[in-house]
Amino acid sequence: MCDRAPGGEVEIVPNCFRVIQRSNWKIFLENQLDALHPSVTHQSTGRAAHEVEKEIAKRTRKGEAPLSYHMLSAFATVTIDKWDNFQTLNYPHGHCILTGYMGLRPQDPDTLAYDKVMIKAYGQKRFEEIVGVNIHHVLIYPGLSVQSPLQQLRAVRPLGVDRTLTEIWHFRLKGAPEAIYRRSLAYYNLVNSPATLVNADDLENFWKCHQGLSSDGGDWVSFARHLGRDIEKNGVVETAPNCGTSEAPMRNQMKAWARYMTAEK
Amino acid sequence: MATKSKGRKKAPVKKPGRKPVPKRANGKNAGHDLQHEIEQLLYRQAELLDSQQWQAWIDLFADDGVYWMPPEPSHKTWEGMPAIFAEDKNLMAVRMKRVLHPDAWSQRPLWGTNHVVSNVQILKDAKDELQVRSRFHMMELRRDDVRHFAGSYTHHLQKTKDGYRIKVQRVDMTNAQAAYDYVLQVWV
Repeated sequence: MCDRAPGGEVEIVPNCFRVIQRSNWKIFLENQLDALHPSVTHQSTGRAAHEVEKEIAKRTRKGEAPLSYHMLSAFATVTIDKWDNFQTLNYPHGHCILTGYMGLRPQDPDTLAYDKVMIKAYGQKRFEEIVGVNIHHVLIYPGLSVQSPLQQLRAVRPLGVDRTLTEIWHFRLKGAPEAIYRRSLAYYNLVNSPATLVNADDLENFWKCHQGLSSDGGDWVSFARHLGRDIEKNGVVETAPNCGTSEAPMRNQMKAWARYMTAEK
Repeated sequence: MATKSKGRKKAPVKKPGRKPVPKRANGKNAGHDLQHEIEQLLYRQAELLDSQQWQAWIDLFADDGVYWMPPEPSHKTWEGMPAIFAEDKNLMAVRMKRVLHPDAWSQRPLWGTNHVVSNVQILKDAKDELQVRSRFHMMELRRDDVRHFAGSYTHHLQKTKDGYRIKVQRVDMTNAQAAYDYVLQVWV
């Protein structure tokens, strides 16, 4: 994230949003890189935003709604079949990466202005390296979830077996144009605020998962999706092409957790 | 009831209508009439929220009206600042359509709320714009869980030919900085 700042540093913006989930912390982490749920779980928000986005486009001369609507409507427009195009990379100790989605290198005027400042600061070659890093979302198991292209960070703090506090921060890239900060801020307010129309759905599902797991309904949860299709290279498990919804990240996290739980003192 | 009426006899309350009503510069009755009109507007907005008449609630706002809940009292604007809510009428429409969408599974059952609005003070009474401060308490029920939120409203109201419209509804929650147990989905 610091590399993405022309000044080489990020600034923490005050006002941490703190939200309590009534579920076990592992459910939250399993959700973070799951590519299967967004278009289903968040479809009501996606559709409502898409409807209003189209109305705004019709009304305005520019024919375009602000980018922030796209952040919400993408849940409706990126349908479930498209999510398999993404990829996760799963590292030892439960760490995982989701590679780019939502266009890591958009070509809008704000991004182009940012690219110019970056090239001036780093030179063309280093700039290409930095923006070429194909990461949308990183999970540092078991405590952090970071979306560096949108400068968001969520710290996970278990309060009890069925209560988890998330502390959510966003950052300003030093030396970057204001518009880049505004993009991060829009995502922070829309997706991560205590009045979010997005995480509200996730939290409800986590609670339901936790209720189900607390019941006598069954001892096992299947994380078998696309098992056997993942590709292992030097200890890193990559999901195969068109298998982005593989539950490899969950398997990877559970492996790390089982190892921590059975480790000798 | 008997003790109540006894108390009243000891300290009789003056009827407000007997005092001469102060006149404003534009010649219209100020004071009680205006206070009453504004209180009715605030009660109506609370009633519309509690009865889930969200489109009618959105219609109380001016075309460029904003509903704003800052995360801390020191904030002077929502522009370029983190905000719990910072919604123009378009974003309000997204929120309403989303909550009412048949596939909004996480929002079933819908929240029941009960607002009490009080301590209404007209802070600024300019020509066509008023600034009003009040206090609210909201009790909310979902499934078996009750939550309480309280704080102050600051309304910037604009006079139009159809009565007052909300330019800005600022909501300062006393518990804004505390951790939220779950989230807020409908306006407070």
